[in-house]
Amino acid sequence: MDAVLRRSLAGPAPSLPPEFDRRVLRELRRSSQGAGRRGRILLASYGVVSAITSAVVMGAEGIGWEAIVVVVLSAVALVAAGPLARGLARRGAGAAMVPGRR
Amino acid sequence: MESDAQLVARTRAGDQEAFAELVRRHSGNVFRLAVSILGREFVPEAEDVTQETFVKVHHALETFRGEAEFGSWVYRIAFNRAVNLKERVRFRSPHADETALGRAVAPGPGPERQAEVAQRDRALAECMEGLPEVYQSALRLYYWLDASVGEVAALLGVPANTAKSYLHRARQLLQAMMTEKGYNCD
Repeated sequence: MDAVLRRSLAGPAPSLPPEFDRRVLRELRRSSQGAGRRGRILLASYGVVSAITSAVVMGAEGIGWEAIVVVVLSAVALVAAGPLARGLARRGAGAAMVPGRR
Repeated sequence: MESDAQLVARTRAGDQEAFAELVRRHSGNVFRLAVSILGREFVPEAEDVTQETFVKVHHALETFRGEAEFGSWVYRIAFNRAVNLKERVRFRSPHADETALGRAVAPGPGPERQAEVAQRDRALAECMEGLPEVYQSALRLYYWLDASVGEVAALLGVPANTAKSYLHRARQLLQAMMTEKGYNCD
Protein backbone atom coordinates (compact mmCIF):
# COMPACT_ATOMS: atom_id res chain seq x y z
CA MET A 1 0.00 0.00 0.00
CA ASP A 2 2.89 2.32 0.84
CA ALA A 3 4.35 2.02 -2.68
CA VAL A 4 0.94 2.42 -4.34
CA LEU A 5 0.25 5.60 -2.36
CA ARG A 6 3.71 6.95 -3.13
CA ARG A 7 3.15 6.39 -6.88
CA SER A 8 -0.46 7.50 -6.96
CA LEU A 9 -0.05 10.68 -4.94
CA ALA A 10 3.25 11.68 -6.54
CA GLY A 11 3.18 15.05 -8.22
CA PRO A 12 4.39 18.60 -7.90
CA ALA A 13 3.50 20.19 -4.59
CA PRO A 14 1.65 23.49 -5.03
CA SER A 15 2.88 26.60 -3.29
CA LEU A 16 1.53 30.01 -2.41
CA PRO A 17 2.09 32.91 -4.79
CA PRO A 18 4.92 35.30 -3.90
CA GLU A 19 3.99 38.35 -1.81
CA PHE A 20 1.17 36.40 -0.18
CA ASP A 21 1.72 38.30 3.10
CA ARG A 22 1.00 41.60 1.27
CA ARG A 23 -2.20 40.10 -0.11
CA VAL A 24 -3.30 39.14 3.41
CA LEU A 25 -2.55 42.65 4.71
CA ARG A 26 -4.54 44.19 1.85
CA GLU A 27 -7.47 41.90 2.65
CA LEU A 28 -7.20 42.81 6.33
CA ARG A 29 -7.36 46.53 5.55
CA ARG A 30 -10.31 45.97 3.23
CA SER A 31 -12.23 43.85 5.76
CA SER A 32 -11.59 46.22 8.68
CA GLN A 33 -12.67 49.23 6.59
CA GLY A 34 -15.85 47.36 5.62
CA ALA A 35 -16.55 46.40 9.23
CA GLY A 36 -15.91 49.99 10.41
CA ARG A 37 -18.30 51.39 7.81
CA ARG A 38 -20.98 48.83 8.73
CA GLY A 39 -20.52 49.67 12.42
CA ARG A 40 -20.86 53.40 11.79
CA ILE A 41 -24.01 52.92 9.67
CA LEU A 42 -25.52 50.67 12.36
CA LEU A 43 -24.69 53.14 15.13
CA ALA A 44 -26.03 56.12 13.16
CA SER A 45 -29.28 54.26 12.34
CA TYR A 46 -29.69 53.33 16.01
CA GLY A 47 -29.11 56.97 17.03
CA VAL A 48 -31.65 58.34 14.55
CA VAL A 49 -34.32 55.77 15.52
CA SER A 50 -33.82 56.41 19.27
CA ALA A 51 -33.92 60.20 18.82
CA ILE A 52 -37.18 60.00 16.85
CA THR A 53 -38.72 57.54 19.34
CA SER A 54 -37.71 59.73 22.30
CA ALA A 55 -39.08 62.86 20.61
CA VAL A 56 -42.41 61.16 19.85
CA VAL A 57 -42.73 59.74 23.40
CA MET A 58 -41.82 63.10 25.01
CA GLY A 59 -44.23 64.92 22.67
CA ALA A 60 -47.02 62.51 23.69
CA GLU A 61 -46.24 63.30 27.35
CA GLY A 62 -46.94 66.97 26.66
CA ILE A 63 -43.33 68.21 26.77
CA GLY A 64 -42.73 71.25 24.58
CA TRP A 65 -40.78 70.88 21.29
CA GLU A 66 -38.09 73.33 22.46
CA ALA A 67 -37.35 71.15 25.50
CA ILE A 68 -37.37 68.01 23.33
CA VAL A 69 -34.86 69.56 20.92
CA VAL A 70 -32.61 70.58 23.84
CA VAL A 71 -32.75 67.07 25.40
CA VAL A 72 -32.06 65.26 22.10
CA LEU A 73 -29.25 67.63 21.10
CA SER A 74 -27.64 67.34 24.57
CA ALA A 75 -27.62 63.54 24.19
CA VAL A 76 -26.04 63.83 20.73
CA ALA A 77 -23.47 66.32 22.09
CA LEU A 78 -22.58 63.90 24.91
CA VAL A 79 -22.07 61.02 22.44
CA ALA A 80 -19.94 63.23 20.17
CA ALA A 81 -17.85 64.53 23.09
CA GLY A 82 -16.15 61.12 23.67
CA PRO A 83 -14.39 60.77 20.27
CA LEU A 84 -13.71 64.53 20.19
CA ALA A 85 -11.99 64.39 23.58
CA ARG A 86 -9.98 61.30 22.50
CA GLY A 87 -8.90 63.09 19.30
CA LEU A 88 -7.82 66.17 21.27
CA ALA A 89 -5.91 64.03 23.76
CA ARG A 90 -4.14 62.19 20.90
CA ARG A 91 -3.24 65.50 19.25
CA GLY A 92 -1.91 66.77 22.60
CA ALA A 93 0.17 63.62 23.09
CA GLY A 94 1.51 63.88 19.51
CA ALA A 95 2.54 67.52 20.10
CA ALA A 96 4.25 66.54 23.36
CA MET A 97 6.33 63.91 21.47
CA VAL A 98 7.66 66.43 18.96
CA PRO A 99 11.01 67.68 20.33
CA GLY A 100 11.20 71.39 21.07
CA ARG A 101 7.43 71.82 21.11
CA ARG A 102 5.68 72.93 24.29
CA MET B 1 15.01 36.39 15.51
CA GLU B 2 11.88 37.43 17.31
CA SER B 3 9.64 34.72 18.76
CA ASP B 4 6.03 34.30 17.69
CA ALA B 5 4.93 35.58 21.11
CA GLN B 6 6.90 38.81 20.61
CA LEU B 7 5.43 39.27 17.14
CA VAL B 8 1.93 38.65 18.52
CA ALA B 9 2.52 41.32 21.18
CA ARG B 10 3.73 43.80 18.53
CA THR B 11 0.71 43.00 16.32
CA ARG B 12 -1.61 43.65 19.26
CA ALA B 13 0.06 47.03 19.66
CA GLY B 14 -0.88 47.81 16.05
CA ASP B 15 2.34 46.85 14.20
CA GLN B 16 1.17 45.42 10.87
CA GLU B 17 4.72 44.48 9.82
CA ALA B 18 4.89 42.10 12.80
CA PHE B 19 1.74 40.42 11.56
CA ALA B 20 3.18 40.23 8.03
CA GLU B 21 6.17 38.38 9.54
CA LEU B 22 3.80 35.93 11.29
CA VAL B 23 2.05 35.36 7.94
CA ARG B 24 5.40 34.74 6.21
CA ARG B 25 6.40 32.25 8.92
CA HIS B 26 3.21 30.21 8.99
CA SER B 27 1.42 30.66 5.65
CA GLY B 28 3.34 27.86 3.92
CA ASN B 29 2.30 25.33 6.56
CA VAL B 30 -1.27 26.63 6.70
CA PHE B 31 -1.51 26.27 2.92
CA ARG B 32 -0.07 22.74 3.01
CA LEU B 33 -2.58 21.78 5.67
CA ALA B 34 -5.49 23.30 3.72
CA VAL B 35 -4.49 21.66 0.45
CA SER B 36 -4.00 18.32 2.21
CA ILE B 37 -7.62 18.44 3.36
CA LEU B 38 -9.14 19.80 0.15
CA GLY B 39 -7.07 17.75 -2.30
CA ARG B 40 -4.94 18.79 -5.22
CA GLU B 41 -7.93 19.69 -7.41
CA PHE B 42 -8.84 22.56 -5.05
CA VAL B 43 -5.60 24.50 -4.83
CA PRO B 44 -7.21 27.96 -5.39
CA GLU B 45 -9.67 27.20 -2.58
CA ALA B 46 -6.74 26.23 -0.33
CA GLU B 47 -5.20 29.64 -1.05
CA ASP B 48 -8.47 31.30 -0.04
CA VAL B 49 -8.61 29.23 3.16
CA THR B 50 -5.06 30.32 3.99
CA GLN B 51 -5.96 33.98 3.49
CA GLU B 52 -9.23 33.70 5.45
CA THR B 53 -7.39 31.92 8.26
CA PHE B 54 -4.97 34.82 8.73
CA VAL B 55 -7.77 37.41 8.55
CA LYS B 56 -9.62 35.45 11.25
CA VAL B 57 -6.41 35.07 13.28
CA HIS B 58 -5.86 38.83 13.15
CA HIS B 59 -9.41 39.55 14.33
CA ALA B 60 -9.17 36.92 17.09
CA LEU B 61 -5.67 37.81 18.27
CA GLU B 62 -7.07 39.46 21.42
CA THR B 63 -8.52 36.10 22.49
CA PHE B 64 -5.21 34.26 22.00
CA ARG B 65 -3.86 33.69 25.51
CA GLY B 66 -0.64 31.99 24.54
CA GLU B 67 -1.48 28.74 26.34
CA ALA B 68 -0.86 26.84 23.11
CA GLU B 69 1.82 27.70 20.57
CA PHE B 70 0.76 30.35 18.07
CA GLY B 71 1.38 27.94 15.17
CA SER B 72 -0.83 25.20 16.67
CA TRP B 73 -3.61 27.71 17.24
CA VAL B 74 -3.40 28.93 13.63
CA TYR B 75 -3.30 25.37 12.24
CA ARG B 76 -6.40 24.43 14.25
CA ILE B 77 -8.30 27.40 12.78
CA ALA B 78 -7.10 26.51 9.27
CA PHE B 79 -8.07 22.85 9.72
CA ASN B 80 -11.62 23.75 10.78
CA ARG B 81 -12.04 26.24 7.92
CA ALA B 82 -10.75 23.77 5.34
CA VAL B 83 -13.02 20.99 6.61
CA ASN B 84 -16.02 23.36 6.54
CA LEU B 85 -15.17 24.44 3.01
CA LYS B 86 -14.74 20.83 1.91
CA GLU B 87 -18.27 20.10 3.07
CA ARG B 88 -19.49 22.95 0.84
CA VAL B 89 -17.43 22.12 -2.27
CA ARG B 90 -17.87 18.35 -2.04
CA PHE B 91 -20.38 18.27 -4.89
CA ARG B 92 -18.79 20.99 -6.99
CA SER B 93 -16.71 19.94 -9.98
CA PRO B 94 -13.02 20.35 -9.25
CA HIS B 95 -10.66 22.63 -11.22
CA ALA B 96 -8.71 19.61 -12.46
CA ASP B 97 -9.20 15.91 -12.06
CA GLU B 98 -6.84 14.50 -9.43
CA THR B 99 -6.10 11.32 -11.34
CA ALA B 100 -5.53 13.25 -14.57
CA LEU B 101 -2.96 15.38 -12.78
CA GLY B 102 -1.34 12.23 -11.41
CA ARG B 103 -1.17 10.70 -14.87
CA ALA B 104 0.34 13.84 -16.32
CA VAL B 105 3.31 13.61 -13.99
CA ALA B 106 3.76 9.83 -13.98
CA PRO B 107 3.04 8.27 -17.36
CA GLY B 108 3.03 4.47 -17.51
CA PRO B 109 5.01 2.30 -19.91
CA GLY B 110 2.19 1.43 -22.34
CA PRO B 111 -1.37 2.50 -23.07
CA GLU B 112 -2.89 -0.60 -21.49
CA ARG B 113 -0.78 -0.32 -18.36
CA GLN B 114 -1.50 3.42 -18.24
CA ALA B 115 -5.23 2.75 -18.35
CA GLU B 116 -4.88 0.19 -15.56
CA VAL B 117 -2.87 2.58 -13.41
CA ALA B 118 -5.32 5.41 -14.07
CA GLN B 119 -8.24 3.17 -13.11
CA ARG B 120 -6.50 2.09 -9.91
CA ASP B 121 -5.64 5.69 -9.07
CA ARG B 122 -9.26 6.71 -9.56
CA ALA B 123 -10.37 3.89 -7.26
CA LEU B 124 -7.77 4.92 -4.70
CA ALA B 125 -8.92 8.55 -4.86
CA GLU B 126 -12.51 7.42 -4.29
CA CYS B 127 -11.48 5.26 -1.35
CA MET B 128 -9.49 8.14 0.16
CA GLU B 129 -12.58 10.35 0.03
CA GLY B 130 -14.26 7.80 2.29
CA LEU B 131 -11.62 8.14 5.00
CA PRO B 132 -11.94 10.53 7.97
CA GLU B 133 -10.53 14.01 7.25
CA VAL B 134 -7.49 13.62 9.51
CA TYR B 135 -6.48 10.38 7.78
CA GLN B 136 -6.83 11.97 4.31
CA SER B 137 -4.87 14.97 5.46
CA ALA B 138 -2.12 12.83 7.01
CA LEU B 139 -1.80 10.73 3.82
CA ARG B 140 -1.61 13.73 1.48
CA LEU B 141 0.84 15.56 3.74
CA TYR B 142 3.10 12.52 3.96
CA TYR B 143 2.92 11.04 0.45
CA TRP B 144 2.21 14.08 -1.69
CA LEU B 145 3.58 17.10 0.16
CA ASP B 146 6.64 15.24 1.51
CA ALA B 147 5.99 16.15 5.13
CA SER B 148 7.81 14.13 7.77
CA VAL B 149 5.85 12.35 10.52
CA GLY B 150 6.89 15.17 12.87
CA GLU B 151 5.53 17.80 10.49
CA VAL B 152 2.27 15.86 10.02
CA ALA B 153 1.94 15.72 13.82
CA ALA B 154 2.61 19.45 14.22
CA LEU B 155 0.14 20.42 11.51
CA LEU B 156 -2.60 18.17 12.83
CA GLY B 157 -1.87 19.16 16.43
CA VAL B 158 -1.25 15.63 17.68
CA PRO B 159 1.78 13.79 19.14
CA ALA B 160 4.11 12.09 16.62
CA ASN B 161 2.95 8.61 17.69
CA THR B 162 -0.66 9.56 16.96
CA ALA B 163 0.33 10.86 13.52
CA LYS B 164 2.13 7.55 12.88
CA SER B 165 -0.95 5.62 13.91
CA TYR B 166 -3.15 7.83 11.65
CA LEU B 167 -0.93 6.90 8.69
CA HIS B 168 -0.89 3.22 9.64
CA ARG B 169 -4.64 3.02 10.17
CA ALA B 170 -5.33 5.00 6.96
CA ARG B 171 -3.19 2.56 4.94
CA GLN B 172 -4.98 -0.39 6.54
CA LEU B 173 -8.40 1.05 5.75
CA LEU B 174 -7.39 1.90 2.18
CA GLN B 175 -5.99 -1.59 1.67
CA ALA B 176 -9.27 -3.14 2.82
CA MET B 177 -11.32 -0.80 0.60
CA MET B 178 -9.13 -1.45 -2.45
CA THR B 179 -9.28 -5.22 -1.91
CA GLU B 180 -13.05 -4.95 -1.75
CA LYS B 181 -12.96 -3.17 -5.12
CA GLY B 182 -10.83 -5.98 -6.54
CA TYR B 183 -7.40 -4.32 -6.50
CA ASN B 184 -4.33 -5.95 -5.06
CA CYS B 185 -2.21 -3.30 -3.37
CA ASP B 186 0.28 -5.49 -1.46
